[in-house]
Amino acid sequence: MEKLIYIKKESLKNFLEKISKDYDVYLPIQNKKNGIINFDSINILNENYIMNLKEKTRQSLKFLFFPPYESLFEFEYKKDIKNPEVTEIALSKPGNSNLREKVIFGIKPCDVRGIDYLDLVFNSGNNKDPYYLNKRENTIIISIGCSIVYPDCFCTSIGGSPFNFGNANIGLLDIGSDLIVTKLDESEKIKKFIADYKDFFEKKDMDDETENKINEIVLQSNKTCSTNWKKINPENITAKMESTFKEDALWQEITKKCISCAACTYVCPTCVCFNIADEQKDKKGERYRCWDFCTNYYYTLEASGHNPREKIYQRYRNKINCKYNYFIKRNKNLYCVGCGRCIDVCPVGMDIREIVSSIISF
Amino acid sequence: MEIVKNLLIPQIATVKKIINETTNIISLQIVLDDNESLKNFKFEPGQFGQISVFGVGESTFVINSSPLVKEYLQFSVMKTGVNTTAIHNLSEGEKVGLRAPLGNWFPYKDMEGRNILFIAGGIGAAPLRPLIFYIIENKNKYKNLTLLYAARTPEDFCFQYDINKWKNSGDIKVIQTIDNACYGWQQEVGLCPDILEKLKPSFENTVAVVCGPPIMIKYTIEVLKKLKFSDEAIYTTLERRMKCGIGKCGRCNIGEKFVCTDGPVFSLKELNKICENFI
Repeated sequence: MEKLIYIKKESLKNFLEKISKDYDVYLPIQNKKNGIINFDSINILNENYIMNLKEKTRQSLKFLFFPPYESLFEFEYKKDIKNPEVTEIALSKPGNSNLREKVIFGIKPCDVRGIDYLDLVFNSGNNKDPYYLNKRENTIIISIGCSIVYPDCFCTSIGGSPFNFGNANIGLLDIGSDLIVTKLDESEKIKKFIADYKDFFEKKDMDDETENKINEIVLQSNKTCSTNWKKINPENITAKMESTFKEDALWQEITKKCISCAACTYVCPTCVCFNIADEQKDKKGERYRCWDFCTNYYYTLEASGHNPREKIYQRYRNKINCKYNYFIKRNKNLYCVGCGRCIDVCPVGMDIREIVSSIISF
Repeated sequence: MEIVKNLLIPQIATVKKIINETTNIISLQIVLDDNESLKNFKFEPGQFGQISVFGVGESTFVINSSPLVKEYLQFSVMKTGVNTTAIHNLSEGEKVGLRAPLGNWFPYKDMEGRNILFIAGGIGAAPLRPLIFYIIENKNKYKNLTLLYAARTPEDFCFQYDINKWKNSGDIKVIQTIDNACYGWQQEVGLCPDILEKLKPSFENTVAVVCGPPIMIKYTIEVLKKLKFSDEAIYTTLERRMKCGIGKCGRCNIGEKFVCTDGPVFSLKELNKICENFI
C-alpha cells in the first residue's frame, strides 16, 4: 500500500519555528487590523500578525527576489590629492546582504509558476541578473494547493491548476487536519531537508477516507476554477493578438475604463519591468532600480517629447500583448499565471478575462 | 555559486576630447580608464553604449568612431533632456561611466559585393559613420558607395570634417541636401525622400541603410519601396527609451523585439513581421 507523508496541522507551528532556526522563513501573514495578507518573515508573527494559509496574498511574492527598490551600486566623487585637477570616481557594489537560505512556505501554485517566469527573464540567456540570482538561489519553495478557489482565479484556463505544483520543491494539500505531501522533488537538498526535520514528516498508509478527501478537494477546486473562464490555447491566442493589433477602435473600446494607474502591474507576479535612476547627496550617491509600469505615460516618453505609446489604449494593448503574445513568442509560455490579482485590485473594474475574451471573439 | 557578470555596473572612462558638431550636438571622445579593458575593447559598427554622468543618470548613444580606431570611442550627443544637458556640461578630463558595446550590428558581411546607399538625416549620420569607415577601409569587397545626407540647414550637418575628406578621396559619393535654399548653398535643396526620388538610385544589387528622425525614416522607406528596393535590402537602426540595455527592464520593446538586444539594427523584412509600428 502507498505510504502517505504528511505534516500534522497541530505541529505546523513548531515545524515552522524549528526551520526558522536554520532558514529565513517567509509565509503568508495577515495584518489583523486591515485584513491584508502578504508574504513576510516569520519573525513578525504576533497577536496582530497571524499566519493565513487559506487566502490569496494581496501582493505576489516577486518582491522577495525583485524588490520594489534595489541599489545597483554606490559611487563617490573623490579629489586626487596629488593631482587636484582630476576628480576620480569610486564605485562600490552592494555586498550580498543575506546569504542565509530561504524557505518560502505556503505559496499558491500560481505564484510558483510566477517564479518560473521570473527565472526565464532574469536567469536565462547570456545576460543573467546577479541581483536577482543572489536572492533567488538557495531557496526552498513549499507550496500548498488551493482548497479554496476565488471568483477571480483562472489558472486552469491558461495551463495551470490549483494543485499543479510545477517547480515547487514540496507540494502540500490541506485536508483539514493534516497537510498531505503530494509533491516532493528528488534533489539532494530536499532529501536532506526532509531528513533534518523528519520528526515533523509523519508517515502512514493511505486509507480510503483520506483518499476520498483528497480526490474530493482536487475535483472541487478544479471544477470551480474552470468555470471562472474558458480555456486559452497559447498558439491560437498569439495569432488572434496579431490579427487584432491594428484594430485601434476595438482596443479603444475595451480599454476605455483604464485610468493608467498601474495597480494591476504592481500586484502581477510576472510584471517585472524596471526603471534605473541615480540619487546623489554631496559627493556620494547610488544608482538604483525600481519597479516601473508599461501602462505609465512616462514609461516610453523620450527626451525629445516623442512618445511611441502616447495613448492609454496603446499602453494597455502593449501590456496584454506582452502577456498573451510577445512572451509566448520569446519563451513559449503565456506570461500570466491566472492569479486574478489584477482583477481584484483594479479600481475601475477591468477584468483581463473580459479583455482577452473580447479579442478572441472579435 | 555561479559567477555572473554584472552588466549593470559601468566602467569608468575619461572624456579626452569634445568636438562641437552643431549648435546643439557635441561629440565626445572617451577612453576607458582600465588599460586592460581598453586594450581588449572590441565593437562592431552599429553597436551602442550607455554613458553615465554619475548622480544624473545614464543614456543610450551609438558608438560612432571607426571600429578600426583603438585609441578612443566617440559618441555624439544632442542636448535634449537632463542627461544630455549634463553631458554637454562636461569638460575634457572629466569622468563618465560607460557600458558598451551593447546590441547587434550592421550585417556588413552580407553586404559584400553590393552597392551601398547610405541615407542619413541629421544626427542619424552617427550610427552610419562607423559602418562607412569600415566599408571604405574594405572597399575592394564592396561596389559603389553613396551617401545621401540631409539636414535642416548647412549648420546642422554633423561630421562635416569626414564629409570633406570623403569628397576629396572619392571613396564614397556624397550628396548633401538641406530643407530650404540658403545663400551660398550649392548642393541639393529639399527633403530627404524627395531628393532620393529625384536621384532614382538603382535597386539592383544595392543595399540601403537608413537612419534619421522617425518621420524621415518612414517617408524614405516609402520612396525606397517605390524604387523597388526589397524589404531585405533596406536596413535601419532604431532607438527607444532604454534603461538596462540588456533585455531585462522591458522598456524598449517594439512588439516582441527588444531594440537593445534584438536590435538596434533591423532589416525592413524583420520590422514588417512585428505587429507594432516601429515609427
